[in-house]
Amino acid sequence: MADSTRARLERFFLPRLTWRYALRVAAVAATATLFFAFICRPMWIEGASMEPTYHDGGFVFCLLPRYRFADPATGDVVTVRLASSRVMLLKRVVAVAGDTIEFRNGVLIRNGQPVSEPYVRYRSAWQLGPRTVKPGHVYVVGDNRGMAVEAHVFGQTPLSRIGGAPLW
Amino acid sequence: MINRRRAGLAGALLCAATAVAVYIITRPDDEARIRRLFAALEQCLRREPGNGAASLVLNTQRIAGLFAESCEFRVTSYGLEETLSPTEISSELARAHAMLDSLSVSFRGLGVAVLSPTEATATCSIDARASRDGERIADAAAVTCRLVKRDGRWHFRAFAEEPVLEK
Repeated sequence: MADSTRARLERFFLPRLTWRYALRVAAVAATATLFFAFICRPMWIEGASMEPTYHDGGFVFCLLPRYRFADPATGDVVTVRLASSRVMLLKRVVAVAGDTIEFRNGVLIRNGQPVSEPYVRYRSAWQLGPRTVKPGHVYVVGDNRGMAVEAHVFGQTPLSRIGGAPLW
Repeated sequence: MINRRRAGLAGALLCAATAVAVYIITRPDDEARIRRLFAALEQCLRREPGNGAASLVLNTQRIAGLFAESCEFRVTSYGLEETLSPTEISSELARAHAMLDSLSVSFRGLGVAVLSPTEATATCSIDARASRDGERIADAAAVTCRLVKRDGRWHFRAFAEEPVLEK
């Protein structure tokens, strides 16, 4: 009995190099490459603009086809592509096309109404005049509003630049 | 005798035609040349902790040859709006390399559009990583480059940061 378990374990961990086994390894490698390149891309977070929701140095998977058939809604965390999908910005959608937004003393005002944002923990007195989101665009901002408004990279971006959404 | 001469001539012609065909097929097109230009720029900008003065001189000399007679730089996030000559670019690189312990710049997602035989544009994201006195610096930006062809070689003519997010 012990011998049979040992043999089974040996077969599992040290299998014989047959064509069938090599083919299986190649298929697994190809599937994994396609999955992680086109569906669920691993990403490392650099920067503190999404604190405290996402920490600097953190790791996340980006679900690339998330917005292939649907547009992002307000409150969604999305990735915004730079020129390629290797470097992306992680931001939260706060307004969609046609909405008017502004910041008054750090409070987000959407279509004239203050918005409750439970995910924002650090807040400074951001002042930004009203602006309307253009058609085919969304307005994205990071959760870390403790940074100076000039230092924080945010604004409206075309939907074509939305690369996907983090898995968690 | 005549047949042999004819056969020789036909063989020579065939070899010449093959050589021309191989040259045409394997000749790098404009897009490939531009991609190589970006790779050369990456190499020139790179600075490793162990690099000495010789590699610095080599890189500063090489980088001047990659740019046209003047190159516009418009990087709004850093308030940079300047037109520099290749000599000025060389001295800027020398200054940057002297200040930093390491520098690595990658051009990712390169998309090239050849507009005419002497003009092209390229879009890419610049991923820059540097270290200075143990402090690590990293930045990324989307840029559009304008390139011109002078004397059969492509050169950088302008770099402009592409606004991804518009406040």
